[in-house]
Formats: sequence, structure tokens, C-alpha cells
Amino acid sequence: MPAGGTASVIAWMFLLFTATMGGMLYLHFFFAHRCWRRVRGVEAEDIDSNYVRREDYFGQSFRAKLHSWMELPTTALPDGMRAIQHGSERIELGPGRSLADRSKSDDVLVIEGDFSCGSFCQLGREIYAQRNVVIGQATECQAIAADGDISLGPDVQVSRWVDCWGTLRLAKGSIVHSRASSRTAAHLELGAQALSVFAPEIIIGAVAHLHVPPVMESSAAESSPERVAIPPDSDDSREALKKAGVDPEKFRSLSADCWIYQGSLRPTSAVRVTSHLVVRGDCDIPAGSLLEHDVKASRNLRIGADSECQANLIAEKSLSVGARVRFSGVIHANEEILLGPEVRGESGSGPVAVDAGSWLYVEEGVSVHGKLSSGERVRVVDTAFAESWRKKFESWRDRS
Amino acid sequence: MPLTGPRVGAAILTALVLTAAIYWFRADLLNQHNRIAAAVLHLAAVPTTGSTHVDTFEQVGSAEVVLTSVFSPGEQPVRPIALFGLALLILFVVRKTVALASSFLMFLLVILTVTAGIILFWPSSQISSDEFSQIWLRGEVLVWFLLPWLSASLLVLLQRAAWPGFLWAVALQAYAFVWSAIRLAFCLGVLHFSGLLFMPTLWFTLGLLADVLYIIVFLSLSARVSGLRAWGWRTSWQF
Amino acid sequence: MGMADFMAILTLTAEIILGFTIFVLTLYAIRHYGMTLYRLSLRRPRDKNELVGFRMPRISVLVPMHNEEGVAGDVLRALTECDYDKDKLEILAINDRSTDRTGQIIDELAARHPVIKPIHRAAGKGGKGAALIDATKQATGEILLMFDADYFPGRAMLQMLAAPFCDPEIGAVMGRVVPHNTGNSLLSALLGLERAAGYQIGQQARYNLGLTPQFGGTVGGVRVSALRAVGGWNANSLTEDTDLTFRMAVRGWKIGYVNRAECYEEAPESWAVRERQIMRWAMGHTDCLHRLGGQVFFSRFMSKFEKMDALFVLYCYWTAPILVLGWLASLVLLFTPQAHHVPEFSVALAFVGYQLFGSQATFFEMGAAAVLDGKNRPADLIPLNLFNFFASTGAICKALYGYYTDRIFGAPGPGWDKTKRFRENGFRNGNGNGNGNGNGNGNGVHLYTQGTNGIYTCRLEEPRP
Repeated sequence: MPAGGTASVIAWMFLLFTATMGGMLYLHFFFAHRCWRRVRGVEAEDIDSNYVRREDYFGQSFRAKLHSWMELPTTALPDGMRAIQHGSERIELGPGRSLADRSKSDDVLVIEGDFSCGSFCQLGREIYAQRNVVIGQATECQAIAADGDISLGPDVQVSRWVDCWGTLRLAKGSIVHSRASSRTAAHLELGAQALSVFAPEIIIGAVAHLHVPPVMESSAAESSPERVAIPPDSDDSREALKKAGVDPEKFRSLSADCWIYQGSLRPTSAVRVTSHLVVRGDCDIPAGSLLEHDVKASRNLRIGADSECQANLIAEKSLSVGARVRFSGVIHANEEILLGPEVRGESGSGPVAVDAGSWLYVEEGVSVHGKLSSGERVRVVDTAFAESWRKKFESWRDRS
Repeated sequence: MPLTGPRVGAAILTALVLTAAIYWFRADLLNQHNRIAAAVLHLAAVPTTGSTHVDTFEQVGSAEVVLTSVFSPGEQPVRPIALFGLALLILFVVRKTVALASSFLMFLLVILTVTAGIILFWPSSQISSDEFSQIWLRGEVLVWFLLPWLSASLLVLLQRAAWPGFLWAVALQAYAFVWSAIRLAFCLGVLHFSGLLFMPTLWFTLGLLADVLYIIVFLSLSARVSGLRAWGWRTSWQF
Repeated sequence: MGMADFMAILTLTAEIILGFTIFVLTLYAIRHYGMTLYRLSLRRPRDKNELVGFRMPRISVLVPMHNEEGVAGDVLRALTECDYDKDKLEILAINDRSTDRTGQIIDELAARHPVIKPIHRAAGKGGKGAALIDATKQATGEILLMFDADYFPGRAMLQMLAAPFCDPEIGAVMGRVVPHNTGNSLLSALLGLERAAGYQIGQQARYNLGLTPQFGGTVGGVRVSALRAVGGWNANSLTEDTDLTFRMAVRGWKIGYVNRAECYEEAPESWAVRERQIMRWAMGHTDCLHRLGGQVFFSRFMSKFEKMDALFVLYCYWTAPILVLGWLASLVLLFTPQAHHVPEFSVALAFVGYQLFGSQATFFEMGAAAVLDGKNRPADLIPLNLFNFFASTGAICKALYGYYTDRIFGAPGPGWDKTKRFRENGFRNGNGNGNGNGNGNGNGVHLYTQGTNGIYTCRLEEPRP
């Protein structure tokens, strides 16, 4: 050890160093401490407890915003229109208006009547009309809200949403990149696409299909006499299942109202599902089956033509719904869904929904009272596309 | 801004580049580390008694370390007792007043008491400054080699672009290097003035735990400063 | 035995303990990193958010309350204002042997809202599990949703929690818990970060990977038929939620998780309360490990990854004493000759790697959760969680010591312990006059912000008719 006098001096310097070390260690917590001083006494603002989900929220939100803008002072424009300046945004107001082909506008348009535009227009901001809106071929829009009908011409592109209180029509090849909603009906023609479509009545295909018979009328499904019960409830039904190519030993009860089938389920004749059913594999429901309870497949699920689904259909991969199937629950798949021709979705207790994780393909003649939604796009496809998709679907099942 | 292949690639590339750089300049780094430690000891007026070479790892080679004399309890038995009592008092008082650190300080109390017991029952227990430096360097060298990979996973992946991630990683590496030398100097100073008594406690708090701490600080800063710009406010894909 | 022999045995023991610690905690660190990175990749199955409101089963909402006069009104009012078909909803407000005004508050609210059905328990076994058993007998819904009394469900909460039950394989669903009192104490602020990591990263990653998210017993729901099939609630468990989660999982049911179903809770604001809470969790959880660990291992319904993850979850509280043993072992090695010689590079690397990566894993989760949540301020607090980490480690060690000594000596374990409430003046969004819409005017319409697929909400005026 150094001598006493020297040690005393050294110790002071070292104590200073020790204090500095303490300060440096505190610096590691400086930002945390500062943060704590700032958030102390402040309650979290993470959640909006008043959030409710609305399918037409974009249109409603825009209308509400417009409502507040209308309070601002206006300036008159030469063509009978008026203008409101709101920050960097300009809102043009006026009576009914019709734009010529290849017109361009970068203003928000608020029309107190009908609005129409010709082909190949470029409308860079939102449009609101108190009556009907007709958009010409190959026009590019941002978003449209109307209190009447909206009709999108062929190949129209809407980069955001469309919302109307009347009938919404999406002509061939038109695309809505976000949500399309209507309080009356939505009519999608071949090739039309949208991220999601919500309406009390969604009609796919030609106008002739607009008046479809109610879902609960008699159908082939109900008149089919021979259906094997799933899960088996007697020795007879076990035998019947064996004849239909199903191993009854693979059924296990999860609860009083839910059964699990370990493996892929591919009965060869129509079935009647009398309890919730979970299939750990692919599931093929033959044509003319009656599904009284929920059915889930841990891989792909196919519902044969003319079947009736009174509950929910869930697939962890893709889901194919055959022609003329009637459903009254929700249909959900993590991957793709194809709704075959003349599939009907309607429930007496409220709207129904079909939701696909990626593409939701819909054939002509489909009618759904509720919502079609997707991760990629809802797309109306022709028979040829649907057939090729079904082949692809078969190959997925074969691979699994 | 989900994690994508290219960003993972950028993170791996960052880690590889930094690891290669550390390996390439390892002798210089160890030399500079020792120079910083010696300079700090000089500033703190802790007497040094020269330097020596210690082995780190075969793959890394030896490193020059500064030497300090070590206090022996036999010389002035009162000092360690007084220091031990003072330390216990401080730890108890802080533990009572700062509830946040209660468990942590309890652990330090246990280590300190066990160390005091060891010194009491096995007075021959001692550690020299070069032995401590060797232990320190072995840990820190490994930290330096692991840091690029931690930076890659913790910092780079949270950034939108590769270059801010790379800058964060370089900054973390530089900080680790300098801060390690300062901490080593402090530990050697304590060894000089109080011997073995506080070394296990210091090794626990200023060793790998201090490394963990500054890495967490860098993580929190990078998450706040750059990460949020890259990922933005909550939208549907974040649920 | 000489000193040299003793030191040799001590060193060997320390090396074995340290090796075991490194092995165990490295496994956990890998799991944490893997989940965080997977979560950041944003890969996930399609959630059921688009189905919210389309299929509303009949539900019974269970709110067990024991001396909750400070919070009972808030939670019940919030539930009555939920956006759910009232014909398919009943709220069972359970007054569990309260000695304060809880029963009176429930009766007053029930008189005003027919949807509230009071259940007064004056006798019988106490605790949340026992209260749930009684209420379940009276429930008429096919789905039971549970909320603790200090929670504040938003208006869409019931719909969001009910939606996943359209999947017949789902036996229980868990929502996300978010502390609202993060500004009241440093502890609650730190717990806010911890919760964010646990839900935004841990629970969501487990759900996305097809593993078993944990049903938390509140802000969640169970299918009645599934509950009956697995034997109902376990009133003897300190963590009846964990118990139910794994009883369901081993019998083939899946647990859903809805990150969007966020609900405010009250986090502990004092360390004493937090310590009791975490000790109860540790003991209850470890008890579940002993009762259900074997069943998980031999379950014929769970995949090997599900089993592995479930065992990780069940053993998670063991990591605290293992970690402490590892630290002590490394200190012992510092005193022994082994520490003074060049250790094998790989062993040293493993040790340092475990210390760094292992410790960082949970903090990485917090950072990633803050980023995913779009919050910048709380990210700054992450370093202080180091102390929270030590505090939890200490409390868990204490709890496990108590649990195992009780088991060894056959002493009865601790009873159920209600977490202390800190709220005094009502919830800030509950305006106390029954309309509870946050701004007090009852006319607000709250919609999503705009964005291609936006999901967050903004406050708007009533749309023009």
C-alpha cells in the first residue's frame, strides 16, 4: 500500500472516479427516468373503448368530415360551383355535374345532385354526391360516397373505398382496392374485384340474377333421402359410414356437441352432420349433404353441390363451395375460397359472411346477404377460371 | 413493415462484417482497451506497477494488461471491516428506500456477505490484478464477438433500412469497447484499495450484467428513435 | 475429505449447475427469440375480425366480485353498453361474499338493466373458481365470457371475443389485457411493457404458430360444452385459468387469441401487491405443472410442437430458481482455480451467450411489442425492467420454496388471494352516469381511421342523416 499521506490524496481522486462511475451508470437509466417523469400521472391512451365495428365506416367517416367542412366559408367559382379551402385541401361544391372524357380533378368534389364522368378520367380526391354517381370506363378515382346509387363502368379503378346508400354496381373489370359497401344492394359483374363487399344483398353476375329466390325455399338438399349420419349414432350408422368409406373408429368426442375425426374425411355418399365436426385433415362433403352444425377442416374443405349448411364452415387452408350450395352461417378459410355458381348465403337471424385469407373467387349467380371479404381481393370469375381453380384445389388435397 | 428476407440478409451481413472487423483488428482493440484502462487509472490516481501479457483465448491471442497492487486485509484489518460495514449500510438503506431495486440489492447483499465470509474463513483467498483482468477480458472479448449478432437481431431487424441498423450496431460496438475499459479500470482501482472484498459483487454488477444493461439501453433507444419510424402507427397487420 | 477434495466437488457441482442453467435458459431464449422474430415477420393465419358481428351466439358474461365496491359499477355499466344483441346476452354479476357495498351496487344496476342478473353468494368456498362454478350453473349462454371487476371492456369487446367461436374447435378465447394505470406508479408502467410483450408477442405468436395461447380467466371466453367436457372449473387451483387452458389443450380443444380485443385492466401499483400476485401465479402455475404436465406429454390430440411449447409454459416459473443457481455457480467458479484457467472457448461462449442472449430475449420482446404497438415513450422504460426482472425472480423463488416445502411437509397450500385494487374515483372512460361513452354525450359514433385496411378508431360526430 502507498504511504498514508499519498493514499489520502489518491483515495479522494478515486472517490471522484467512483462518483463518476455512479453517474455513468445512472446515465444508462437517464432516458428511462426522463420517460417516467413524463408519463407519471398520465393515464394510458392505448385503447378507444368506444370503438365499434361498422362495415361502412369509410363512407360514414368521410360524410362526417364533410359535414364539418360545410361550416367553413365558401367562395364562388365561375361555373356555378363554390369552393372551400381547408388547409391544403380544396373542396368544390355545386349542383349536379357531368365531366367529359379524360377530365382531371385534384379537388374533393361535393355534388348536390347527380354526378357522372366520361371515360379515362382521373379524379384524384374523394367524391361525394347526394344522388347517383356514374363513373365512365377506365376512370381512376380515389374514393366515392353517394346517397343514391353508384355505378362503376368497365375497368374503373378506385384506389380506396366506395360507399352508397342505393345500389352499387361494379362493371366488368372494375376494381375497388379497399372496401365497397351499400345499404341496399351490390351487383358485381364478371371480373369485378374489391377487397371486401358489404350489402344487404350481394348479387354476382348478370342483372337477371338480381331477383333470386329466398334461400330457405325447398331445394335438392332437403329432398335427398339417403344421408349417412355424422357422427355415427348407432350401429346401423356405423355400418353405413363404413360403406361410405369412412372409418367410424376415427371419430372421437370432444364434448357432447362436438366430434373430431382424426384424418381426412371423404365419404362417398351424402352425409348429415348432426354435431359440430372437426376434421384433422382434408374434408370432402359429398353433394346433397345437410350440415346442421359447424364443420371445420384442419386442411382443405370441399362442400359438394346442392348441399345445405345451416352453421359455419371453417378451413385452415382453402375451401371450395359447390354449385347451388345454400348456407346461413359464416364461411372462413385461411387461404382461398371459391363460391360456385348459384351459391346462396342468407340467414333469418342476420347477415352472413364469407371471409378468405387470400383470394375469394365468386362465380356468377352467387347471392349473399351480408359480406364477402378477403385478404387479397374478392373477384368474380368465369367458369373456365373456376374449373382450373378446382383442379388446383384437387391437387392440394391430393398432396396433403 | 414486416420482417422480410432482405432485412434478415442485411442483419446477417452487418453481423458478419462487424465480426470479421473485430477478428481482424483484435490485437489493436486489446491494446487500445488496455491503454484506455491505464489512462483512466492514471486519471483516478490509482498507482500502477507496470504491465504484463495474459492469455485470452487461443483464437484471439494474448493481451497486454496494466498491473495494480492489491490490498491485503492482513495489512490494515480495520479497513475491510469498515468498508464492509459501510457497504452493508448503504445497501440496506437504498434497499429500504428504493423498492424498485430491492431484490437486486438483496442479491448483492448476499454476494457481499458470502465474500466477506470467505475472506474471514479463508484469508488466503486472493486475486491478482492480472488474474482479474484476464477473467474480465475473456468475458468481454466474447461479448465483443457476440455483440454484432445481438445488434443484428435486436437493432437491425427493427429498422426499415439497413444503414441505420448498421450505424446502431457500430455505435453499440464502440460503446461496449470503451465502457468495458472504464469498468475494468474501476474494478482494478477497487481491487487496489479494498482487495477481494468487493470483486465478486463488482464482477456481477459491472461485468456481464452491465453489458446486458447497455444493450437494453441501445435496444430501447433504437426502438424509439428508428423503429417507430420504420413500422409506423398501429395498423391492421400489426394485430 | 481435505480442502482440495471439497473444492474439487464444489467446482464440479458449480460446473454442472452452470451447464444445466445454460442449457435450460438457452432453450427458453431460443423460444423467445423465435417467437419475436416470427411475430415481426407478421406471418399469421387469417384472423376472425372480419366475422365480428355476423354470428352472435347466446353469451353469458360472468363478473365475479368480492368486495369490489370501487370498481363494480364501472365494469357492469361498460358491459351494458357493449354493442351486442341484448336478446342474446346476460350479465351474471356475482357478489362473492362481499362485506362492502358490492351487492347493493349490483342490485341497483340490475334494477335499471334487465340484462344484469345478480348472483349473491353468502356461503360456500371462496375464491374466483368457486364463484365461477356457481355462476356457470345458472348461465344460459352457449359461450361464457369472463371479466374481473377491475377491467373495463370496450363497446365492441363482446362481439370480438364471441367471433372466434364460429370455429367449432375453439374451446376458449383470450383477449388482450392493457393496464390503464401505467402513469400511477413506476411498477405499473413497467408492467405495462411486460404485458405488451406477453400479449403482443407471446400470445399472438403462439396463436399464429398453432400452439396454445394461455386463457387468462378474464377478458376471455369459454365454450360451455367444452368446459363441461373437461370437468368444469377447478376451484382448488390458484390459477384456474392456466388449469383450464391445459385441461382443454390435452383433450383436443384449441385456444384462440384476439389481439384486437384489448381491455383495460388495473395493474398492481405497489411492489407488495405485485409480489403477492406473482407468487400466487407461480404457485398455481407450478401446481398445474405437477397435475397436468404428464397429461400434456401423453396427449394424443396435441402435436409435438404444441406439447413442447406447453411444457415450456408450464415449467416457466422454474427458470427463476435455475437462473439464481446459475448466477451463484458462476460466482463459485470465480473463486476456484477453474476460473483462472482458460476455459474451452465454446463453454465460455455458451456462458456469455446465455447471459447476453438469454437476458435480452424478454427485453427484445418488449422492444418488439413497443414497435408493433406503435408506442415510443414506453420503449424508453425498458432498461428499468431489469429491476422488475430481479424482483420477479426473487418473488418466484420465494413462492416455489413455499410451494415445495408445503408439498414435502404436507401443509395445506395458500388460499386464493385477491389482488388489491387501486382505483378510487371511477374509471376515466366510465363517466358514472350510465351512458359511459367516454365523452358523456351519448351521441358519439366512433369509426376506424381511414387507410387501405385501417383498423384503429377515431372519434366522429353523428353522421348526417
